[in-house]
Amino acid sequence: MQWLECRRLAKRLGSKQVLHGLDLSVERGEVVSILGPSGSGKTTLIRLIAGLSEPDAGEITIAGRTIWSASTSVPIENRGVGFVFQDYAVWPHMTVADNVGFGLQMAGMARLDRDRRVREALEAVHIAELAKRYPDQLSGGQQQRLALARSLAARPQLILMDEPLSNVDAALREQLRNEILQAVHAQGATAIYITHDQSEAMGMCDRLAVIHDGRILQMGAPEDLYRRPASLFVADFLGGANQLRGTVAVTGGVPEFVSGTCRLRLAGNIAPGPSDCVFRPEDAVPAFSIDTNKLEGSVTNSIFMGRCWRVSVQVDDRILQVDWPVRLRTGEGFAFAVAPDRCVTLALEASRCANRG
Amino acid sequence: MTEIIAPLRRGPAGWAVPSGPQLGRHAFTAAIGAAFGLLIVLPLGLVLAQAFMPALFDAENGPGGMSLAALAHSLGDRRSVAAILHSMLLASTAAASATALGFLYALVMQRTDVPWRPALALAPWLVFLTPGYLKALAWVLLMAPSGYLAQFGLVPAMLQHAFFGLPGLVFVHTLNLFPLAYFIVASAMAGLGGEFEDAARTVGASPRQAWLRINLPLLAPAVALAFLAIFAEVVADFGMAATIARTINFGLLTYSIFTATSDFPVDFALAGSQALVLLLMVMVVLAGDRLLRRQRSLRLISGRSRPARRMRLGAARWLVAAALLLVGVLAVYLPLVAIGLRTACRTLGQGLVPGNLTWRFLLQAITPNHAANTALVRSLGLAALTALLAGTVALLLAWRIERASKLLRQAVLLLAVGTIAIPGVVLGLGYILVWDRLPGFRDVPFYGTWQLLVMGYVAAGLPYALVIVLSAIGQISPSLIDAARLHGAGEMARLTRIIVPLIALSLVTAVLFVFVRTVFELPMSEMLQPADGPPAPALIVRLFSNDDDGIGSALSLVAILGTALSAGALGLVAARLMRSLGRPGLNAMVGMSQTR
Repeated sequence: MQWLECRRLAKRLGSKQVLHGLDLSVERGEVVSILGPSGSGKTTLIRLIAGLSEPDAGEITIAGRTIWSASTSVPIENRGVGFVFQDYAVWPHMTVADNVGFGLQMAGMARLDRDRRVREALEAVHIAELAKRYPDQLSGGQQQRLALARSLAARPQLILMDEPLSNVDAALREQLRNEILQAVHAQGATAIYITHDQSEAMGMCDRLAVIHDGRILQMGAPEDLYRRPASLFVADFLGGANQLRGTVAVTGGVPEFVSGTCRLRLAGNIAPGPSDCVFRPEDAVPAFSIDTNKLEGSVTNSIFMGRCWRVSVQVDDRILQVDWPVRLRTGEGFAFAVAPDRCVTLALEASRCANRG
Repeated sequence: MTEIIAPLRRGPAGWAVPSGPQLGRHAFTAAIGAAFGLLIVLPLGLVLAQAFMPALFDAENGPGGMSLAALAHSLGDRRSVAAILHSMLLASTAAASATALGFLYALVMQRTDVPWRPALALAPWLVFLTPGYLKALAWVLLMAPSGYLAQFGLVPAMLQHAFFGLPGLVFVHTLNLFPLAYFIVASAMAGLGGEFEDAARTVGASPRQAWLRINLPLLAPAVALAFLAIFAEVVADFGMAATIARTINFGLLTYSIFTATSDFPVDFALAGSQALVLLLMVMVVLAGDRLLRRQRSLRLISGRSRPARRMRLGAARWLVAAALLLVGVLAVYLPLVAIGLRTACRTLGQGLVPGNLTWRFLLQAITPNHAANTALVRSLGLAALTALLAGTVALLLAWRIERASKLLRQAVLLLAVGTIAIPGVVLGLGYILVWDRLPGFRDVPFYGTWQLLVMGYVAAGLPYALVIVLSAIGQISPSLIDAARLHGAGEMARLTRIIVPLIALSLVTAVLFVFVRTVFELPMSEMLQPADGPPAPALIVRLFSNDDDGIGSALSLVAILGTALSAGALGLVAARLMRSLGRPGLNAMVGMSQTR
């Protein structure tokens, strides 16, 4: 049994079924990112774990103890869960120190111990010198740090973070991301981190879960999800991918994906049958570097991306995206190749089911 | 076994949801429901029942059956029909003129570079806060044949004559209610911003065309809302009806209801049916208001907009400022001066000559145990009690509703707004029916006590307090409360440590508003007068109608000053308290952190 287990969680909000019997397992000390588009149910999921709202059905256990089931509901304050809100939710009428100390006071901690814990929590997020300030005298990043310190002060076993970096600018986001990770690891806590930003999700976690329409589509190490997406949705949501629909045929023991004029040899044992094939724009290589797997078409557009050009190429009646080191002129003929081990096929049944989510 | 027992003993640390809090929650909901029922639903229900069952409280013939006889009577009786027509005529003319004046006031303030801004912005608020019947009484002092304006030869006889008729009533109502239109239209104009107009200009519209084709159509819903609000105010008004309109025999519906319940022989059937007609009028207006608010254009313009450019008036700006100043003078400063002068004069007719000046009235009003002073002290005390009660109930109710379903929230808000629209006279009639007539209730010695009056005051003031507090609580981001729950704050701690400090300003505003409103509340004060003596508003009106306008003016003056002083003191104490609780600039933060 895993440390945190959510089993068959269902939740309806108004007329919308937000979670459809969702399962999630998290190991102790692990940082898990949950990635999904808005409305996919990710915030609902962690609000259920925190106790901020109640599931309609299912079960939640932490360390073997049932905190919610149809017959049991541990009160919110006894779940030992910290929560960092998207809008920080720091209390504007309390100083920084009072914000952090509030929960400890509610728990009946003595003054001296409380002060020490508050100081430690503030030091952990580098805002100890702001203890006497009020939230409206803090910058966005400092408010974010305060929100984190407040959730750390009670030393929860589990910290839930609801898109905590969505309100800070890009430069600060990177820095805060590292600080959050450090602080969480230093405390040995388990954390669930909600976001809709795929680079943030992959950079934040030990394991990543992609959620869509109230179900977890795939969960695993970020690089596994990126390299071996189990569905078109995961492939597309994690970094974007080219999609081709066709058939896998096995001739002489070698599987090959065929779609229109495209013939792509595949690596490994792939069952024949109708399927989708996905590859990422950065997997395109010069046509001459491989004997097989050549794709040809004409350039329709080039956009400068910084480290490369993203070139749109029309192949048959499809537009494929390719990352290329130089600019290509519109209308120019162009050929490239994709290595067999970079072509991921999804049997049509599987990719359809998962897509319907 | 310990698995089962231990959690229960551990209380909040337990596993199962204990039934205790749930029980408490139901009890609380039931208590709120009962209070609401007793304060509003039962009295209103009885008024309606009385309208359809004329013999409901007939001692000899029993309750009798349903009948439209009373309704037919009130629609057939000449005086009753006249009262209905008078009310509608007055309401529509006064609403039109007050809306026009409020619109112009808003237009000048929002869209021109008129000088003396702070002073001009203050006037509508002062008008809004001073009771209408005091201004009406003051205008009688000014316009009477022997009044101050005639004494200074400032008003021709023809105008004087016209004043004591429909034109005078429209004039005073317009001055009294234009702030309502000003507030509604000004906020719509501020929300409108300058983009739409600018866009029209860029495609070739002249300033005039931009106004006629773009701004006016966009502002039309706000103008209509203002008209409806003022119409409802005038129809439901009791102050003017019981003062100017009564003296000139211009029968109005509200006063007609009052006399049916107070003059011998008492005719509850007539009062009930007239109350029904009055309620129907208000309901139609409310329905119109709902329809208008649902219009898309209103929402379209409520977004964040860039402020519009202000038109430069050049030299004319002094003239425009003077015109607005004149509105303020006529609406509030001059009436106050008239009351002040009358306080200091032995008689009205002898004018401002040294021999006619006296301190007597003022001294009487501030001498303990003098009837006027007793009434004033009584009113201030009852109003303070009412304000505290209404504030507390509003806070608890709002806190409960805020966490309830959206549907319940909407329903209570609608009910609160609806209750604001219920004319005080109708509610007062309901209280009389409940506590003087209804079996079971009439045996409780409650009718004629100051406690019943406070109950009526609370019912009349609570909806205002509730609307203010609810909107403040609605501003608080839900995650601020969730965060407190996560940190172990129980219900009480969340209320006292998070909610109250965050909405302190609105809470104080609500209490002060109810206090000021109650000191001068007329219909309840008239209808539910305690046996041990009248509250100040009832006494003021009685003194004026008995030609004791000297002491009446003195009492009004001292009441205004006393209210201002006590409200100011209460506000100061609250401000100091708030400084110790939190910090200024709080509301901005609460708004800022709201993203959900």
